[in-house]
Amino acid sequence: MDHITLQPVKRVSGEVTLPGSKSLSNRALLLGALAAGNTQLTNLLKSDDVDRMTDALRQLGTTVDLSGDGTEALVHGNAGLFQPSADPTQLFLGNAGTAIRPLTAMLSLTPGAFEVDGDEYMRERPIGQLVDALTQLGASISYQGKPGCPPLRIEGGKVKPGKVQIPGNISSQYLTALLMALPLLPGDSTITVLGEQVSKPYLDITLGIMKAFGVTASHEDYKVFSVQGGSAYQSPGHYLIEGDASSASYFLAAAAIGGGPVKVHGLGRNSVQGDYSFLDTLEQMGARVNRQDTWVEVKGAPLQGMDLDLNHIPDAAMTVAALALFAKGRTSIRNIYNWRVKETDRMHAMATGLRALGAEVTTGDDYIVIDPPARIQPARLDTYGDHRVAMSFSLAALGDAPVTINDPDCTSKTFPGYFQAFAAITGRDHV
Amino acid sequence: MTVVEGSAVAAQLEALMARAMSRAADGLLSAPFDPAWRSDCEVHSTSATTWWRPAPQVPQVDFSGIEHALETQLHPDIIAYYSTYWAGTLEAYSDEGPVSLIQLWNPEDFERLRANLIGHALAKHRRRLPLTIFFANTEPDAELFLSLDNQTGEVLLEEPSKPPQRVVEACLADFLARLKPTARRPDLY
Repeated sequence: MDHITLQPVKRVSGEVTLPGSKSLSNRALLLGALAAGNTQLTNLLKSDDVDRMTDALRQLGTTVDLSGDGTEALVHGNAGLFQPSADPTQLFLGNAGTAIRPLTAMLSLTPGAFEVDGDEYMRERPIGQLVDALTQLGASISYQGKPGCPPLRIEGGKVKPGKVQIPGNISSQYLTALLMALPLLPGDSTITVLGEQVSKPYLDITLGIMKAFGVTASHEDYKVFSVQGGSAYQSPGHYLIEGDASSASYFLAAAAIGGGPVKVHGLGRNSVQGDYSFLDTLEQMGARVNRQDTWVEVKGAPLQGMDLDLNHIPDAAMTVAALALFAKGRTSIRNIYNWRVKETDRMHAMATGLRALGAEVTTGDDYIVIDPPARIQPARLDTYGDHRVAMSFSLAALGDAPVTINDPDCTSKTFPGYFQAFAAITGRDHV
Repeated sequence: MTVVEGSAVAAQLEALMARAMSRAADGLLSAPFDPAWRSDCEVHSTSATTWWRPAPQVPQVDFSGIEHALETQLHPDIIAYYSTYWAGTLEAYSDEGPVSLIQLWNPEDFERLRANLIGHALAKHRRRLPLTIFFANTEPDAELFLSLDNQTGEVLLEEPSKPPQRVVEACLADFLARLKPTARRPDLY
């Protein structure tokens, strides 16, 4: 679709269910399988990746009772590493990167032989640096095809606790795989990240879910991670697979502007995501927020412009920038240099769009100051292929003017069907 | 089979490889060394690392078997892309993010790629989707990849088992022309 025109919206209310994140679904399934006790998982994502992980866990001897619609699972914990009956155990993981990465690490600790393979896409996607890291700790993993890529043969049980170094520019999923596996070794380990920084929000989610299952790992500024050996995962009993908190921010902001209430399911007060604290910002600006275990609800109120340091939530800060159009007085968002270093210069994209809508905008290297217009102007807005720019500007439709958003399909990166979901709470079909 | 000679894709690939080599201290790119996985593009190696520069394929790999199996002709751009050099994976940045360009290391690598491309083509066929041919991976934590639309030659962003997300570039040569090589190791993800 070339563009979408959002007609002015006066009233916002309804409920939105955020599907659970793919990587959190698979991390929760794996930790549930390793934990002592049974774990009831809710809001699992229905996806091929999750199916592949579930199949693999079953092959490794874990009982997983899935609900009919596939969104809930009772995972019977093994109270430790798997005890597979087959030798070798052959696992086919399709294209599930969120399955092969943590499983490769976990199986390299597990006594037994394992053959791990994927589909034609997986076979083209290198996993060499994870294998290199595990090899530093004694793992025996060989490539059965192209070096660096699946299929792999793992002679498990050879990994010893110790020190491992990994480059920071690798997949955050590799570091996650190591962090989740190493606590099950008999001694302590440290992971040193060399060079570039790893994705902090992603690692916070990993550390958060590990903590929910009773295991903590410490770190020094995300550069050196210390993992205590001899640890054991414990079932928390029930675990909600959260949806993406940044995606929730658009619906919650819409409620703050348009009255609400909007209830978002799939996001709870025990959230492990940094962007959950977007709710604090909403509250500061005047919205009323109700936080519960498996949902949050926002009701609107007159919004007040504020001076905000949003370094900790750079993605949701874009939602705040759009929210500023509807606040009384000036909103300053500071310490968001991160906007400059994305594929799109988000500072430029947001400033340009906000100005087109009638706001007065000043920007610097790491800040944006927004004085809202008396009345939002009709505008046609460029997204620069950035999904968050598109979703943030959808909020402008809560003014008095139609808003056209170019290239709305860029939202498919993280939220296919976003505009339909937006239509559902605004009660309008947008064209 | 389409002749690569004079291909805009081959020319842009050559230019991209030259940009990558000009970044390296000694003009050579590196990959993990494997004694069982050798290539004509290797210049020298240690027990852990091998250094390479693109070596022209002589003879070039032959896609007629794939074309026969799929009962269709492949777009000349993708044939040119895979049959110009023996080379390692090339890491680069596009305006949209990181790109990991799949290249062929040796004839055995082509056999492996051929099986994967046929698997991909059959998956497309089963879903009644137009044929595409993948040629690159994207960011490390995503399952997204880049492919060529076999009919139009457009560069597409795709996720396995789904229709393409969007057109990234009108043709492969233009896409290669705007890539910036990086110094990252080729086995990053």
